[in-house]
This record gives sequence, C-alpha cells and structure tokens, in this order.
Amino acid sequence: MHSEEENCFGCKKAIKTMKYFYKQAIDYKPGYFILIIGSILVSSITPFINILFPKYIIDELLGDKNTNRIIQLVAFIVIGNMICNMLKNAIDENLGKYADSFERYFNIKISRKSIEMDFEHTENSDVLNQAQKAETGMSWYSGGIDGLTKCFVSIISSIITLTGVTVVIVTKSSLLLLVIAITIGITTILNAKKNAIQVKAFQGLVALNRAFGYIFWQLSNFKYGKDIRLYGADDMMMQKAKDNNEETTRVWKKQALSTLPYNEIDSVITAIRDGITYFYLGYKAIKRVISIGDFTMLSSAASTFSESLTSMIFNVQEIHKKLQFMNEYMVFMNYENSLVRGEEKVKKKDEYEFQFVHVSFKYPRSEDYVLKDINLTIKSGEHLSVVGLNGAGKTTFIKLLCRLYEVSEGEILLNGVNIKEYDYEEYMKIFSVVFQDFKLLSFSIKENVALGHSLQDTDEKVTEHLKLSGLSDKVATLEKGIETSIYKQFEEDGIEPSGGEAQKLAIARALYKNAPIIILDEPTAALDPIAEYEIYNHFDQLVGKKTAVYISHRLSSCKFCDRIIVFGEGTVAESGTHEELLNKQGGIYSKMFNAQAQYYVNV
Amino acid sequence: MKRKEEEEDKNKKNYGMLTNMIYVMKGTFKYQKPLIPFLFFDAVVQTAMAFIWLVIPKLVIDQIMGNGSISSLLKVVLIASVIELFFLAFHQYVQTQMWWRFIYARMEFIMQRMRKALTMNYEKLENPKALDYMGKAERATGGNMNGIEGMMHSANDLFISVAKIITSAAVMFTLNPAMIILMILLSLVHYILIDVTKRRDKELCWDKLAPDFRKIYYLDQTTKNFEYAKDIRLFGMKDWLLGKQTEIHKKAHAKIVASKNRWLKCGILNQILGAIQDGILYAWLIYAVLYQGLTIANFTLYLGTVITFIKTLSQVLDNIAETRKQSLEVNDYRTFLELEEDAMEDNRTVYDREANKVKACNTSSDNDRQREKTKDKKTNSKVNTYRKLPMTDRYEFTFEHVSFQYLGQENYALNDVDLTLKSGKKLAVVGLNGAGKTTFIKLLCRLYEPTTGRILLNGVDIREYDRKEYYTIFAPVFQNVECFAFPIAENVSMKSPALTDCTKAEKTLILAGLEEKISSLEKGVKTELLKVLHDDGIDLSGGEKQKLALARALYKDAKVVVLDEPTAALDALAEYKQYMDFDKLIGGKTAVYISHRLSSTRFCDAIAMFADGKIVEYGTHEELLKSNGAYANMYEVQAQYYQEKEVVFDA
Repeated sequence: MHSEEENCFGCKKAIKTMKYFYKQAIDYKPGYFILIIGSILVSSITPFINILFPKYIIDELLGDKNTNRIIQLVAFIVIGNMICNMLKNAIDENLGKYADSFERYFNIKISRKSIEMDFEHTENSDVLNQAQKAETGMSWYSGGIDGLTKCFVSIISSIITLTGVTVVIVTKSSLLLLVIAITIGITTILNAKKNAIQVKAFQGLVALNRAFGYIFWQLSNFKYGKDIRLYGADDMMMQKAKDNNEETTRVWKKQALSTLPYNEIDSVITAIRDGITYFYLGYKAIKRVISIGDFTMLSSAASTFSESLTSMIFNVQEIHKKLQFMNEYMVFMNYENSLVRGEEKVKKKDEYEFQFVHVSFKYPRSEDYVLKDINLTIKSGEHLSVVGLNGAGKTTFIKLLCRLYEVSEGEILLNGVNIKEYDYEEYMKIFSVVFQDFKLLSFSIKENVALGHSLQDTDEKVTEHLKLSGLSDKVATLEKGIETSIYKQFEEDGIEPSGGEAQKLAIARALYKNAPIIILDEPTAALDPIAEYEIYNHFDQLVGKKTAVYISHRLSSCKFCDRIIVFGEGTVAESGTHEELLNKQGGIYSKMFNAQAQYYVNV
Repeated sequence: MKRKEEEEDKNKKNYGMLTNMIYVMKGTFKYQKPLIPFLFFDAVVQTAMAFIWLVIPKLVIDQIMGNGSISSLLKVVLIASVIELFFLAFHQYVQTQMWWRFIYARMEFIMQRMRKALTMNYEKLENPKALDYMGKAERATGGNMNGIEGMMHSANDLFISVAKIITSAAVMFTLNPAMIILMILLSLVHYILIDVTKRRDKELCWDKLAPDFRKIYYLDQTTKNFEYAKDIRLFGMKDWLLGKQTEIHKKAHAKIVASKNRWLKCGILNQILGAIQDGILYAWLIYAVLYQGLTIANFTLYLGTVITFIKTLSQVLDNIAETRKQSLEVNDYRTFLELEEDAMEDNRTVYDREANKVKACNTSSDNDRQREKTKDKKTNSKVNTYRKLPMTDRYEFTFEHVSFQYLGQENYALNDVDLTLKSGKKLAVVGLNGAGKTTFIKLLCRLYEPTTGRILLNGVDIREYDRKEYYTIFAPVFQNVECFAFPIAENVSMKSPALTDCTKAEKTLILAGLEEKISSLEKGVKTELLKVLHDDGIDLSGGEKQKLALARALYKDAKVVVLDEPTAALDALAEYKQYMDFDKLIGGKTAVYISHRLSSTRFCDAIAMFADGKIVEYGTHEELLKSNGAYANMYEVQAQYYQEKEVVFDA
C-alpha cells in the first residue's frame, strides 16, 4: 500500500505541496525569502575563491615571484574565505531562528486543527493515524520548511556553481567536461538502481518497523507490567524482540549486499575518471598547453564539478522524499468539517425542552444503526435516568444530544428549533457534562474547575463548587489549596488524585460551568459505595432545578429521577418511573434490577 | 516517617566518557564480533584515501616539472589509479559490512533495556523516578546518532580521525615540526571558544528552557490528544488551551533567538581565527617555496596535508561535545540497567538486618562490621540458588505484621496486617477507596515487597523464592484488561507461538464464553488483536476483554486466582453472568476477590474489611452483618436501593 502511495507521489503533487507550504511561509515571515536568496548567493560564490586564487599564487610563485602580488593574492583568498564564511554563518543562524518559528507555527496549527475539527473525526482511527503522520512528517524526517529550504538552497547554488565551473573548464579544456559528464551519467544510473533496491528493502521493512516500535518501545509501558510479570510473558516478548531484530537485520544485510556490486562499479568509474583527468591535464601541462597553476585549478574545478552535481542529484531525490512526508500534514489539515453550524443564538431563558423526532443514527463508515427511530421529549427541569445493557446506545444518545455527532435520520429540536440551526459554540454552552472518560488537565485545581473562564471572585466560586462535589476536605489538606496542581506533567510538584477524587473534580468543573442542562455519564463507576451514596444524597443540591440526564449501570441512582428510559438494542425499550418499570413483568429494567437486588434481598 | 525515594546520587551513574565508550564498544563487539576487524580496516582505508588525493597531484606535478615523458606520466597515473581503485573498492566493502551491524548491536542494547523493564521489581515500574530513568534509557537507544549507537559511531570516527592526524602530523614533521604545535594551539583556541559559548548557551538558554520543555511537550500532546476532544469542545477550552500553548512557545522562541545570536557572535570570532590560521599556513608555505627551495609539487602536498590536519583536529574537538552528550545518555542507560541489580538480594539483606536487630549495637564500628557482614551474605546468597516452590497443591499464605508504604508517602498504605489465607478458601477483600485493598493484592502477588513484616507461603518467607517462579502460582484478572497486538491464542497463552497450545487456548476461550465471537472470526484464535501491527486486527469490547482475561487465567490454570474488581465496567446482567463464569475458573482453588460491590462477597468463605490500611473486620458475611460494624453499614447503604426501607448512612 505504501509503495503505491510513493509511486503516486508525482511531480504535480510535489509542486502543489511545495506551493502550499511556501505560500504560508511568505505570508507568515516574508523576511525569510531575502535570507534564502542571500544563502544561495554565498553558497554558490565560495567555491570559486578556492578554485581561482591558488592558480594565480602558483603561477606567481613559478613566474615573477613578486612578493607584493603574492601577499595580495593570499590576502584575497584568506579574507575572501573569511567573509564568505561569516556571511554563511550569519545567514544560517538567522535561518535557524525562522526555522524555529516555523516549527512552532505548524505545530500549533496541528493543535488548532485537532481542536477545531468535527468531533466525528477524532473518533476515526484513520484521522488519528494521519495526525501522527502529520506531526512526524513535519519534524523528524523532513525537518519541516527549514529542511525543504536547505535542499532548495543546495540545488540552486549547485546549479550556479556548476555553470561557473563549466565556464572555467571550457575555457581551458572542454574535453574534460565530456569525461566528467559521462562518468556522472553512469553514476546516476547506478544510483537509480541502488535507490530501487533501497525502496524495495524499505517496503519489506514497513511491517517489521511497525512491529519494532510496538515490541521494543510500547511493551515496556508500565500499564502492561502486572500482566507481563504475573503471566510470565517476558520470555514471549523477548522472543518476539529477538525474532524482529534477526529478521530486520536479514533485510538490511540483504540490501547492503545487493547494492555492493553497484558501489563497486562506482569505485571503478571513479578511479578511471580520476586517472583520465590527471593524465589528460598532466599531458597538457607537459606539452605546455596549460600552466601548472591551470593544472591545479582545473583538477580542483573537476572535483568541484562532480561534488556539486552529486549533491544536486542527492538533494533532488531528498526534496522529493521530504515533500512526501510534508504532504501528510497537508492531508491532515484538509479534513473538512461537515457538521452543519447554524447561526441562531440560543435564547437565554429558563425553559429548555428537547425533542427527539424519529432519530436514527449509525456511525460513519458503519452499516449498523446504533440508534433506531428514537422519539423522546426531555422536559425542562426534568431529571432523566438513562439505563440499558452495555452497547445499547446510551453514550451515543448523549453524543447526539451534545451535537458531537449529527443524526443520520430524523431531527433533534431544542425549543422547537432544529439544533443544527444554532451557533455551535453557543449550543455547547448550555451543557455541563461529566463523561465517563472525562479528562482533567495537569494544571492547578482552580484552573481545572474554572478552565480559564475567570469570573469575579473566581476563587470563592471554585471553593464553593469543590465543597458541593465533596472535595473541600481534600483541598483543605493541601498546602497550596486550590492552587495545587494535579498530575506531574506540567508542574513537577503536582499531586496524583485518586480515581474518586478525579471524578469529584470533574463534577465540580461541570457544576462551575453553571449550564442549564447537566449530563452525568456513569459518574460513580470509580467511587466506593459510601462516596457514591454521598453523591446521590447531594444530587438535588448538585442539580437543583436544572434539567439533568443521568446514565448509570447502577440502577440505585434511578430512584432519584423523575423518569427512567431504558435503551435496548438501539431503541427506547421502556420508559416510566422506577415503580412502573419494576412492575413490568419480563422487562429489561426489572430483570437488571433483580440481578443486582438478589444479593441484597434476604437480609 | 516519610519513606524516602532513593537519593539521586545513589542511583545515578556517572562514568567518564572513555569508560562509557569502552562499555559500549565491548557490548557492540560482543554482539557483532566481525566489527572488530572492519573497524580497524575502515580506519586504515579512510586514512589512505584521504592522502591519495594529496599524493596523486604531487606526483603528476613532479612529472610536469621534471619534464618527464608522457609514458612515465602514464605510468604514474596508472599506478595511482590502481591503488585508488583498490582502496575505494575495499572501502565500499567495509562500509557494506558495518552499518547494519551497528544497528543490530543497538537492538541488542535495546533488548537488554527491555528485559530489564519487563522483569525489574514491579514497584519500581510505578515509581516516577525509575520511570524517568527508563524514559532516558529509551532515549539513549533511540536513533542512530543518540547515546549508544551514537557512541559506536563516535568511537569509529575517533579512531579514523586519530589515524589521519598522526599521518598528517608525520608528513608535516618532515617539513617543520614547530608548525604542528602552532596549528594545534590555534585549534585549541577554536575549541575553547566553542566550548565557552556552549556553556554559556546551556546556562542561559537550555537550562532555563528545561522546565518549559516539559510544559510545551504537555500542551503539544494534550491539544492533539483526541481523548480530550469531548471535554475540550463541550467546555469551550479551545482559546484558553491554544493561548497557553502559543504563549509558552513564544517564550521558548525568544530564548532560542538569543541562543542563535550567541552562536552568530561565536561564529564571527571563529572565522577570524580561521583566517589567521590560513594566513599563517600560506605565509609559511610560500616562504618555504621562495627561500627554502620547496617545490611546487610539495607545496600542494603540504597545503593539502595541513588543511587535512586542521580539519580533522577541529572535527575531533567539535565531536568531543557531541561525544560528551552521548556519554551522558550512556550514563542514563547504565543507570537504568544497573538500577537495583537484584531486588531479592537487597530485600534479603533488609530481612537479615531486621533479624539481627536485637543484637545490633549502634556504635559506628559495629555498623561497619554489620555492613561488611551483610555484604558477605549478599555475595554468598548470590551463589546460593533460590528455594524451590513446594511440590504441593496446598498453598497457604500468612501475612505477619505486614506494612507497606509507597515511596515518598507519609502514610502507610497497609499497616500491620495479619491474615491467613487458607488453601482452597475464598477470601473477599472489601473497603472504601484507598483503604489498601489493591496494595494488599499486590503484596500477595509480590508485585510489591513489604516495607516491614513478612509474607509466608507454607511457612516460608516468599522472598526466598525466585520471583518469576513465585508468579506462576497466580492467575489474576484485573479490572483493566490489557490486550497485546498478537494473535488471540497468544493473548491467552501469553507465550511465544511455538509454546502456545492453540487447542487449549480455544477451549479456554469457549469456557470463558467467547465461543460465538471466536467462531465468527475467519481466522479463529489466530486472529490478530488490535490494529497496531495488522490492519485487519480486531478490537474487543469491554465485556469481551473481560472474558479474554478469564480465558487467560483458565489457560494458566494456576493454584491461586486473584480477581481485582473485574466487573466494575459491566452492566447488571453481564456482571451477574460474569460471577457465574468466575465460579468455573475458581472451582476448588484458593481465590482472593476484591470488589466495591458487596454483592459478590456472600459467596466467599471469609471477608476482610479494610479501612485505612488495616483489617478492621474479618469473618463470614453473616458474622459481619451480625456484628453491625463498618461492613454491615456499607452493605446496607448499597442494599437500601434494592429494599423498600430507607437506611441512613452513619458516618
């Protein structure tokens, strides 16, 4: 598959990619291009100082031996080199500054894209893969814009140098040019053959490299530690590692050995070329057609010529490869958002009534409906409990309600208006959600609750909500109180909250947002019975008059709710109060309740 | 008292650059013996090639100047070309043989790190400092130019450079020995200039940026992490997070700009120095031509030689900084690899020390002697083999005053626990979050070692057994089931393909309730799991993973079954079914069962109620309910939802 992509990556696409990046670069930092031109000029001029001046020095040493002139020539060569190198150094350091800017610029762009893209993309493993490819594509191999530019500068200055050197050689002995050109032609053919072998070897390595990354790096992750130890799986892992290494080495070795003949032919060509060059120039010098100075000049011109040409060929191949890597970034940035984002403002009022009208849903790239023909009204201020077996569609239901996904069929109305019509960010503001797999950030407790939405008396509000969610005792024991950081990734002195504490923090965060609709997706799964009891007991205090949707495996929570909705196989199978559903013989709810209750009945 | 993390100095290895180079090369040669001759020939050939380019023009010019004939010119050029060809061909061959051998050797180094990570004391694996060492050791083996492999190439380069320097110095010696010293001095000034800048740069830029790197890495990762996608969108964190990220990148960029400017200034000084070096070189050689009768042929030869000399010398000096960096990384690698070589030995000495506590006098000389003694014992016990596991089906575990403190923690996670787990009995471990249930299990399985006290298996301290062998006693099922990107059968057997009994794996999978799933798969138990390695790999649902873990435990057929909250993520019906499946697994075996849900505990022979690291109640379900303590209260808090009467929790 990979090889196909490689073959497909033609000139057109390469140029498109190049345009894409340089257009952004020129918009972001126009000064960059002035430096690039400077860099090209300096790189192409420098070689000539060392080709031309030694000739005059040698000619002078063998001729008039005029000391003043010799000093002048030496000064030219020494100071010329110095100035060129200084310029090159200055330009390179400044290019480095730009390189740093660009690296950060594109990095943040990937972050922004990750945040702004439709939620649906974030659950697509292809997009996840592409995000990783985009990141590595811009860094380790291509070197980003800077890596591309270096190739560019090298190619263009090689061309200029080649032209100059050709002029030098042609004026003295044009035959030399032919010799060099022929040998380089052969070398190019050899290179192409070697490349083909390498590409083939790389293809053979794709699967092995994938396994390498997994076996050699990921398996050491501590999350596997318990299982690997207690099941004695270390031998298995080491065996896999050993096999992988042997197999990889076999491929490398094969590649090395099969390119060897081409390298040896290259050796022969090089030796012949050098022999002919020196013999031809020596012959001319003996015949006094050229001077000794000319001899040294031409021999160094000849080697500069082949060096420049080799570097040019190398960089042309390189630039192609780099563009291919950078193209991954382009692909990632070009994921389109298909979610309809209306402009309607959500009217600030106390009534929020949701209606699901014949809502069906299947995940993108999937054939099966997860939800089928859901009809449901959530009244303003209602406390709704959503239960059901694993995989019955409870979480999907929440995702639709929160507009993380668009319905496949039917519509969801808020106060009679299709939710698509509302401004997306405005719509998000009416929900306070604690997801089952909520994530906290490695910042301070305060920041985790307030999330950058600073209010007047933020501190008091944060403390108040921590108290509501049952965390104030814990915070009181902390030296820095609500300024204490959690986790250690951002601040080294962060604390590690337990599962229950993290969950309470997530609840505090949701409450702080003070949105009219509260959604709690299994908020007590990680809590022990007592902590769970406390949350339930505070439930009314937590939720108050707001609309609340509550998902739980533990049916114990249902008693607090006005209404229970039971999902079964993608539809609303049952709906009613706790008592109503219990009395329904053979119903899912009563079955589930009894499965749990049987452990407690005969007390 | 706080249990201290080991002092950084104690663990951190600090070997010198040369020691590390020898360490790396010894390892490299061990894994790839042929590299020894290749490395040697490479140096010879590369040196010879560097000089061939200098000698050929000289010989040709000699011919021209000496008014040689065309045929003698031809002869010289021919001989030179043949020699060049020989070296070139040889060089290509040696190169072909070297690079992949280096990679192979690096992989072996990685495998050593991996083995360490897979087998070291589990507690270390949870310790941030040890994890940090592990991360650094990974970096030291990542890539061709870092740490370990970088050191191999550095050693190779150094060898070649030294050969070139000696040869060019020898050539220069024939003309003017003083010049060698002068050029060395100038190169040293160049080196010092770079070194000073590097130090200033490290101090003013990189050291200051170090804490920011961690933050930048965190923000870069978090903003791109799709697991955060829901929360970021619903809580409108976009501008806030991107703002933080942009701000810190700006700060770092400013430091980088300052650093580049520093190097720019250093570069100017260096170019001036280089010009002085060039000037002296030309002046000296031209003087020799004009007044000492140096031929033009030799002029070109010496010019080339001195330039080679200067270039190689400054390359070696420049590489020192790089090699130093690699050496630090090699130190990271060795730090991790030599981290607490043998947990068992260490623990045994702790144990011995405790046993001797009574007679230990606290004078310093006695302490020294004591240390000597334990050292002796340490070396002795290394010779001794571990005790064999008892050849019986009856395993009885006894906890004797077992306490455990996590590293860097003030409180004891377990405090003076005494408990006996009888063979064939089922024990339920219950308690609030943080009461010490999981710690208890980890101690039993010897993932942790007790801080004080001991655990006995049939009357013998478990530390006397080989840890790996001890692990064979247990079949655990944890709440988080980790799948590996290998075929299902191997995920069940946890053994390499050759040692995996596919029929047995399939049988256990069916027993665990995955029959339908397996038969729906085209490749059956050979189906790959996860998509990490195979695009056609499958992902299992939470419930299926639980069943896989069950099959894993069934396949292992160990004497003791450990279940750590295996049903937390399941719905009521699935949970109920899972309990039935566990019965199949457990049969008449010894079992330990942790659960929040007290529902399961009633099947157990005994219940241990943990609170604050202690066992506060112990007995059967009925006994504990009767005693009306913490367990009864917890039970009733849960039970109330299923009964009609209201129970108020009594805190």
